[in-house]
Amino acid sequence: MTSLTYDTSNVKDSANSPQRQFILADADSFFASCERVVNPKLYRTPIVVLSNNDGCVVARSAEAKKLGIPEGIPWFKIREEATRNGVVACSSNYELYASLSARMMHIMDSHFPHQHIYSIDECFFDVTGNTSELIDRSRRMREAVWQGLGLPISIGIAPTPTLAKIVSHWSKHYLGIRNVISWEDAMQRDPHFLKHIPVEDVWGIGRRLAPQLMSMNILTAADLRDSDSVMMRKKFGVLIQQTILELRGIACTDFSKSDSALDGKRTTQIMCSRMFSSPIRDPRDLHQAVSVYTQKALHRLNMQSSLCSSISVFCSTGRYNTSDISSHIRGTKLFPEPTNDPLIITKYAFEAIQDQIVPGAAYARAGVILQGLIDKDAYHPLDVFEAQLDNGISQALEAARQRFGSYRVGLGYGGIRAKGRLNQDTGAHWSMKRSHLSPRATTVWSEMLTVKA
Amino acid sequence: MAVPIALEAVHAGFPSVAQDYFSGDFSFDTNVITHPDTSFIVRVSGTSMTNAGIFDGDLAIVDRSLTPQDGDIVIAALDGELTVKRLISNTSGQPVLHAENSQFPDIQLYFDESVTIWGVVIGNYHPQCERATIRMNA
Repeated sequence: MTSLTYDTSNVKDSANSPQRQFILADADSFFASCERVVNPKLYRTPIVVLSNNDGCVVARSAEAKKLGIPEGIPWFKIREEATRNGVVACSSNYELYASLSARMMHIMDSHFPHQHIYSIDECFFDVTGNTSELIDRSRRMREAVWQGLGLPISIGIAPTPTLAKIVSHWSKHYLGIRNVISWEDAMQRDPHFLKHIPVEDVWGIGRRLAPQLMSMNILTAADLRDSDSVMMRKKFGVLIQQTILELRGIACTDFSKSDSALDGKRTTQIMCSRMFSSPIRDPRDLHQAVSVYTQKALHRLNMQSSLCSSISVFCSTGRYNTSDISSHIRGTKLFPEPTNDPLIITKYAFEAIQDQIVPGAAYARAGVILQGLIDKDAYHPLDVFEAQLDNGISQALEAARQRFGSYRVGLGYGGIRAKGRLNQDTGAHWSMKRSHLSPRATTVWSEMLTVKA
Repeated sequence: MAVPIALEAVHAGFPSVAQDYFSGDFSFDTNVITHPDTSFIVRVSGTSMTNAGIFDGDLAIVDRSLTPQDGDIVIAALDGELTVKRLISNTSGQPVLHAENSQFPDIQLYFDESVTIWGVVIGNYHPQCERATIRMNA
């Protein structure tokens, strides 16, 4: 067995001599923790956060996990028992989570260089230093986020991102420690701890690949590390080879190729899709929904100063469709030139699916994907093929949005808004159902927190 | 080398000298809120802090990055409710949440009580002209 050689070569003297390390910082039960920031009543309460339309459990606080509530379960199935156990359900308040996430990432960015934001609640730092110094600085970063925002984070420090994920995960789930842990710490506590990590919990493996690995008797992170990386590459591709090398302490992750860090910028596509609260049968309503989602996606396109080359639109009748007509349609339209012009894009959006709509079908969800993204600044068209640069409409829409709030203005059917908190998306009858919604305390003026004097 | 681009056509007569110096107005926010990542604007409801100049309906700016010190006006989470009071120690050195209005009692803090200091109030905005407050309350 070669495992010991790998392990010791990585930890040799690293506590004292500077070396390249990856720090993973991720917020504990992020959505549930955000709910606690704006509602201190929930400090010790078990919380579940529900998906769009209050359908399924998408996030759980540690207390809710202890009660055995599984992720993804439909809320209606457990509502009675959970409520009896004191569980509080929150509708997902993505506006609040996005705001607190941006603040959290910004605070952390001031503690270490080379931040790579990986998702709404986790980021990596690519740093050089000795482990004891990095641990001290990580503790200060953790304290700054906890005091400054009330969000608890866990931190893992290791020679590769894959190992940083594993030590952090192991520390949380097996030791019950939510703090700062380094690869050396973990190795001291249990030199064979990789044998206790199921292979499907390794970053990048997932549920699809895990059964195939298990059939090859690769059951744990340690088994995967000790597998033949060249043979595995031939069988499963280069990504798994990188994972194997990372488990051996050789960093292969190239963050510069993935979606860019600081601003959460998308380099490949922007997607916006939702389930409707009630099925849509009228093509005009579908048109309206597509317009709204297109404009949501365009908002993000403009935030990152990009142009897009094509748009895909999809609509489908749901899995629980009661009528006998089922329809899954998808259409793509290529723009004459890369563009951010909302007039062109919203026009093409509906045209992409218009001819395929099945009369009488009850559509349950729709979405739009902007593809072929390029930087506005990087686009130099030949004189004869000028980019369809928007002539000021998107700036005007953006300015109106800033001044009056989202969904007060929009193109086509996209601008309709009704009064009332729960129909805040557009006021149309198909918009999301979110009946346990917390205030958007940092982004909507009228929803700021109230303090008692 | 950066080549300056004319921002407006220059006609005969005096050109606008001010153009070269104008880079936008200062922002009230950025000068008042020194730690935007950890600051929250909250609305005050109640009259227990009037002697400190904080009135019902005022906006308070709360900076959570500051560590509360004796004498600070703080937001405390008291039994799950956010409340604004002055943090002081009484004669025996015990922390107390002090109301700045004699009609309200002080609140003794004991270790077993579920109290967290949520943040430190760095200032408040008290509107003085009703005609101008329509948007603030929107």
